[in-house]
Amino acid sequence: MKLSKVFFNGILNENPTFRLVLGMCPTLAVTTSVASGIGMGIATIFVLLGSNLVTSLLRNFIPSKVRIPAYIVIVATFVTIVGMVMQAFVPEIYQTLGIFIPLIVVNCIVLARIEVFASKNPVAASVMDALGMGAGFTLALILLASIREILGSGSWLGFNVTGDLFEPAIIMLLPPGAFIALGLMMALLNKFTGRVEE
Amino acid sequence: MGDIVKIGLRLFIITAVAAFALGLTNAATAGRIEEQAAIARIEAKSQVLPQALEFQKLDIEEYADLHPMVLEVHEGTANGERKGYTFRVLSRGFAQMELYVGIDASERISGVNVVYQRETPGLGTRATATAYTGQFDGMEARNVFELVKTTPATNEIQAISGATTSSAAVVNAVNAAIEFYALLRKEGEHNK
Repeated sequence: MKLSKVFFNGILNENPTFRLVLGMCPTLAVTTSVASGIGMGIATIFVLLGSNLVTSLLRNFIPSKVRIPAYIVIVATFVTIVGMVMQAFVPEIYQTLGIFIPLIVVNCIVLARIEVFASKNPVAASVMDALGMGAGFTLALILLASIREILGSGSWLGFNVTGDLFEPAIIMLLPPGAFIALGLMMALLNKFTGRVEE
Repeated sequence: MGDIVKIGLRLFIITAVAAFALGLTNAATAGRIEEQAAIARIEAKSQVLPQALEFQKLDIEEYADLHPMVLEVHEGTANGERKGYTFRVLSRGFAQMELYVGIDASERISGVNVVYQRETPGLGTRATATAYTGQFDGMEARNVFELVKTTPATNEIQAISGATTSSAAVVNAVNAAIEFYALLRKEGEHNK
């Protein structure tokens, strides 16, 4: 399998948000602003990278009967280490991203990639898979957050972009707005990529 | 039977290595995390009471039962002259929130700064940003504030739509500081 193909697979064909529909809880929760979306995306890439790498290295050591507890220990360890290191060395970034770090433990993208990919593939491919999936997830978050922030706050990345053309619709920042925006985006994507079965 | 022992042993090795890695990371970072928090607290005091150069911690143990939200009170001075007080207050929105509130010598709020919060990103966190906490600046610290959803009048603070709980947490913290300040003032008059 070509490494570049593994990478781009995560961005479009098997995009974790739009195609695999994984990790919906953090996706719906943090896409209230573009800055939060980028933060969540970057933090997830780190954890995906670490856990895919370690699982791939240990794939012949982990007994298949207890693989899920083993994976969870690996993911939780990585999440905790990332959190502690960030808190100690980049406290400003931790202040804004800190809330997302523990959320990653319950992000099923991480567990799914370990189970589906890293436990069955060599290290290089697993690293590419983590980067591709992480990038695909981050792009999806930025897209969804852009729609919600522009319609809900009238700004993009904190800058006012709509002038005062319309009164921002708060509902876009609340849970119903998240479901509406995500649903419409998936429908549009399916229409243009022709994935809907007749 | 032998299989179970083998599986258990391997799982044990994985968890032991994970625990060891976590212990090492904790040992390497715990000191720095504490240091960073201490620096943040010093900076927060100067931010909410910029006129003061030195801060003297007051003994408030006797009031702990009466005002449990106020953790620490510092008297801010510059060249021996009292410039006001800073209050370190613990409040609660959706999760714990820690703030510094400054009250200057003219009995006005000189600053509100949220140093720790776990509110909803993009929604509740807006109630901890300066655009919201700045509403208190320069307001009289004689009476407590009330949270409203319309255009605010004197001693009223406009809540962030969709983030009422987080908005209220900040107002409650400032009110706790004001009530504590009233206590200090009464004591000051008594000592005159």
